[in-house]
Amino acid sequence: MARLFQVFVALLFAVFAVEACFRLIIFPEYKALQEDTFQRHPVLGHFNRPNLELRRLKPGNYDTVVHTNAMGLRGTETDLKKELSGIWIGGDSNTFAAGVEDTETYVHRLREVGYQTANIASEGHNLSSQALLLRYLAAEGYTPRAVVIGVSLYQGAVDLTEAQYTLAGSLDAATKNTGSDAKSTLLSGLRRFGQALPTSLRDVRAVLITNSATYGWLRLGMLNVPAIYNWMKESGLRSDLNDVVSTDLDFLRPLDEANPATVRISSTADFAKQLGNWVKMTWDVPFGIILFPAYHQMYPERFRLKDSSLDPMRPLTALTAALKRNGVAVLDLLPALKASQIGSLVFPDDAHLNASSHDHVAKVVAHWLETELSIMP
Amino acid sequence: MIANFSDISVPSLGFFVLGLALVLLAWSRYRENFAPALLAASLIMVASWLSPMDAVVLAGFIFPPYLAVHVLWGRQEKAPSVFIGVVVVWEVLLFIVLRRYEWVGWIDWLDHPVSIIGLSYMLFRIIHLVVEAPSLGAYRISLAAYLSYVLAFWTLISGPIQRYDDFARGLSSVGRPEPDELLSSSHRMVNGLIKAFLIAPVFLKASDIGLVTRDDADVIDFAIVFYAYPIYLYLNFSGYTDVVIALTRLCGVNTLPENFNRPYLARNIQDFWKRWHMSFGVWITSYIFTPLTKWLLTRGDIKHHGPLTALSVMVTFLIVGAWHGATTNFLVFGLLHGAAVMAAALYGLGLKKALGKTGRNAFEAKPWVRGLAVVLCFHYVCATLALIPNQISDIVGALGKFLA
Repeated sequence: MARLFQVFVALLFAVFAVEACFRLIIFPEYKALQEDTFQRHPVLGHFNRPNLELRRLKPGNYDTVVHTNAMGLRGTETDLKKELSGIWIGGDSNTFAAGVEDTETYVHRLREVGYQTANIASEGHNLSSQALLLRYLAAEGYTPRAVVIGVSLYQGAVDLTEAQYTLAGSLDAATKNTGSDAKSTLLSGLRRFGQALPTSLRDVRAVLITNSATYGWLRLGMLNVPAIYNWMKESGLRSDLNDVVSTDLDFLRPLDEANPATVRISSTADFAKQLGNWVKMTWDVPFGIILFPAYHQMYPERFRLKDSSLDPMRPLTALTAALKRNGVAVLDLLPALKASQIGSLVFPDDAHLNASSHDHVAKVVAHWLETELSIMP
Repeated sequence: MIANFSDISVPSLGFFVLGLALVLLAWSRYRENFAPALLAASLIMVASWLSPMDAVVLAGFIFPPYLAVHVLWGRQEKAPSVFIGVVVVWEVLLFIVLRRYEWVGWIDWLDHPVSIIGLSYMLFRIIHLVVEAPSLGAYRISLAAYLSYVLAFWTLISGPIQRYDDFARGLSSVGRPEPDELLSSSHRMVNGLIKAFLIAPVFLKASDIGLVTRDDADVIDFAIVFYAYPIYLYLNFSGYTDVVIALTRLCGVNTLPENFNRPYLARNIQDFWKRWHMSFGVWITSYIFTPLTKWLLTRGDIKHHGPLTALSVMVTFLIVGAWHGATTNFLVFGLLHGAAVMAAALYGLGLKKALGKTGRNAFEAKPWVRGLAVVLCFHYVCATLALIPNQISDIVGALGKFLA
């Protein structure tokens, strides 16, 4: 028994020694695999960390340095007054675009064709969190030339039925309103308590990727070696995007009343209409939505769907139609992206748009700003 | 800070590794090396938190007092009290500068990035050593022992505050604990981890005072917010203490003092401070309240002893408040607790006058009196603890909105 204990302890220390070795020597960049770009903001709840200079690494996909300015807006612009006098382009990870350099985002590229833009996007934001941000910027005294919000399918289309408070009452009340009362906050905390420890292999992986350089190297770091990367892909040891179902399949099912995705799409369109009205009332400037297609909408032929009733295009078509019905100017990027001559629109293992796509999107958005929103460079 | 390693705190892998290494060393035949190993673990922990600038400042904070301690060690007959006083005042001033108290406007010019963890606990240990150095001659002191004590791995971040003689006696008893002790300490460690890092966070989110500003907030919401923070604080702090005490006991060290004794069952605020963060209460009594009261009473007229003791109580609690945080809120917190201690003392005196000593004791022993006192004291503590995570203006605003 004592021998067994000694072996166990020796193994334990060996693991720690290996981990220290990976952290300090072999894979010191492991922190860049999962470093968060955001922090808690007193008004917005969660927003980009200000004055950020952060390496973001996804081996085989991207290795970039993300900057934010004093307000947390993507890029290195220091003159906030100048930056926020132009078109505000908000949204989620596709617009924040941590996978490309500051100067490669479509928001920055728009500057090259003469538009003054500010990237107000934040990873994980949806229309209601962007609404709070717009109200905050209004309270700070900034006025945009136009407001455009990028919405990614599918994460961007969430049920916003209960999110009306973000546009109602005072900003203070809206920001204090967490959307839930003290009872449900406590109850949800208690429920989370039951899930505090990882219960599935997926949970364990999530813990490991944020805590272990050894695991990070085995999972992603060694993919930096092209030979290993190619061998893993060819041998099927590494699944590609085509095999990953990264969406709630409800979105692909017929959007009838029984389908919960129907409410998500309609409430997103309704909220966009209300936000557009609020923008009009506050600043009297144009407002529009840009829809970013998901990977399986860009490459439906790669999506090996077994159920013929599932249609990858369904949510995009439905949301575009609902927004149009609500009188919201909308740009569906899918046709332009599909028509482009770009070999791959996204990263090899990451469904966000790559630098070439951002360049193309900038041209498409510039044209749309001119023709649909009548905003000239 | 160590590249690619997170700051080492109780729920971190680093703490687990260092703690396990110390426990195994204590159980092994190489246990005579425990003291240097403890110092190494302490320095690694400190290094994980500090930037180079922080480390330089910390060195400036802890090395000069060592010279004083070295000079004063065991010199009971010739201890120069003025010298001790100067060192203590210097350390306190340095602490005030480094802690960047918002109400000390004159240090605004010093805008530096120093943020040293556990600085107040280091100050307590340093003051204890400097003041007691003349009477601690029976124990050995060296730079290594001094650093081990001031930066002790297990008490670096949040105490408990240990006396040097206890620390030294503890190190001399390092070894493998008895099976009963082993089991109970392991049990206590797991309990502490569950309390501090699994259960406590559940209550933290529900303690957000913004939750009572909702239009539909009702009395139950108010009650949840009111009680959640005190529950969180107790579970977090006492859970943390459980972990570090259990860790020392697994190393055979049984001299780390307890910090909590069912504080929410206190009958009044004086009783509360004998049950809550007890090692801090003992320290503050030994080095602030008792000497200050003595100093005031020996200089004041006997008919002013009552007001002078009251003044001493208020100054002591002002310091208690200031120690808890760097904003004005904490001063108010301290003053409210000082006022409650005096109110309890006056109430006790009044009872004694009306019922006599035996009558008062009999009255206070009645279950309903005791129960009512516990309930009142608990709610007073809850109300004052609201000052810790919130600004006074936010509390007033939230209450105004809730009551409107």
